[in-house]
Amino acid sequence: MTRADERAASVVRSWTRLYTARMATSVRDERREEIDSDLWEHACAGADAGLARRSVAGQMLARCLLGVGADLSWRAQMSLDGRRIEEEGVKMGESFKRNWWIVGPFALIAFGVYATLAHIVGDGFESPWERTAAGWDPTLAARAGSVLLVGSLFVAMPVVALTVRRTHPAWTIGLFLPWVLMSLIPLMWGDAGVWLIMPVLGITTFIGAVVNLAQRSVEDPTTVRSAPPSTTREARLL
Amino acid sequence: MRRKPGTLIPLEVAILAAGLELGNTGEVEFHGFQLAKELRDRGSERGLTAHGTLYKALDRMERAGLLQSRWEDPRVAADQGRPRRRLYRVTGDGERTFARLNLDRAEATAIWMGEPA
Repeated sequence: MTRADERAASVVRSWTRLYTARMATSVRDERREEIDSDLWEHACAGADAGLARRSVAGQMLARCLLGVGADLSWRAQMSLDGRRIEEEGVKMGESFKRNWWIVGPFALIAFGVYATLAHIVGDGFESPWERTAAGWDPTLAARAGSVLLVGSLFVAMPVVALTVRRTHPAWTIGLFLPWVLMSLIPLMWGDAGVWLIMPVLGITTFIGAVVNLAQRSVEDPTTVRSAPPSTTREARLL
Repeated sequence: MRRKPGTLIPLEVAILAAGLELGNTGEVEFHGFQLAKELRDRGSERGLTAHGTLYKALDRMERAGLLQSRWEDPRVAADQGRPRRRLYRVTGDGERTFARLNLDRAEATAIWMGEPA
């Protein structure tokens, strides 16, 4: 393509991107790719026929403009039809309703990482960087080692629990239970202050996990039972 | 254009006619721009069908079972240095529907041009 038809094609592509925005990925990509192919073929056919490039560009723009109404009605029709466009949105909404509690462990982990850093190099929630600027604490290595060990467990347990939640739901509960108990530790302190966020997040996450697994067991009992290893191996071989 | 369910608009009749005509010349499968060119050639100075009008009609006809499409092998397109094409063909249902219309291709073109058949 040359500059005139490239510019025209670019305008058509922009319009296509606009009216297909937020549609289901497959429908959107197919329409965009099809228009892209059409523009390429149009430019080649124009060159083969010896048409002036501006003329081809004008044809492209005219085809785009004259089709705006059809583009919009096609888009509206797809929206009303709903099957293609809303399918993904519904899936996302359903998924969020079921799995909102997964946010809990990650929020708690983020909080835990910050709190651990603050504990190692500062007092409470004093910025860790302020303390390091003041000088090296000789007990820092020992404190860091012990806190990192507990911190690693605190991070690893929910990660493993979430990873195996579909195949081994009982393990998920088994790992979450001690994890939640760990998150309750601040309740034993006299003035836990901001640390109370730990038990709140821990308990909320645990309740969310239990409710999720209970829902799944009611809807489809086979999904929460661990398949015997032999069966799994046979299925894979088949 | 509003129409009764199960009926074809003139453009759809013309697409069926053009698709069958291309099939007769050995090109059973055709892509969107090729069809637009065929429609223009059959309708003289009518010009190339607008993108939105053409692809909306093709989508509707495919869902009605009159056409079927497939995406070209990307390697073929890559070898020729162009975007891959979506290739359409008229189905058996499309052929039968067109036959039921009891029109020959010239009449279909006349309908497309808005002239009395």
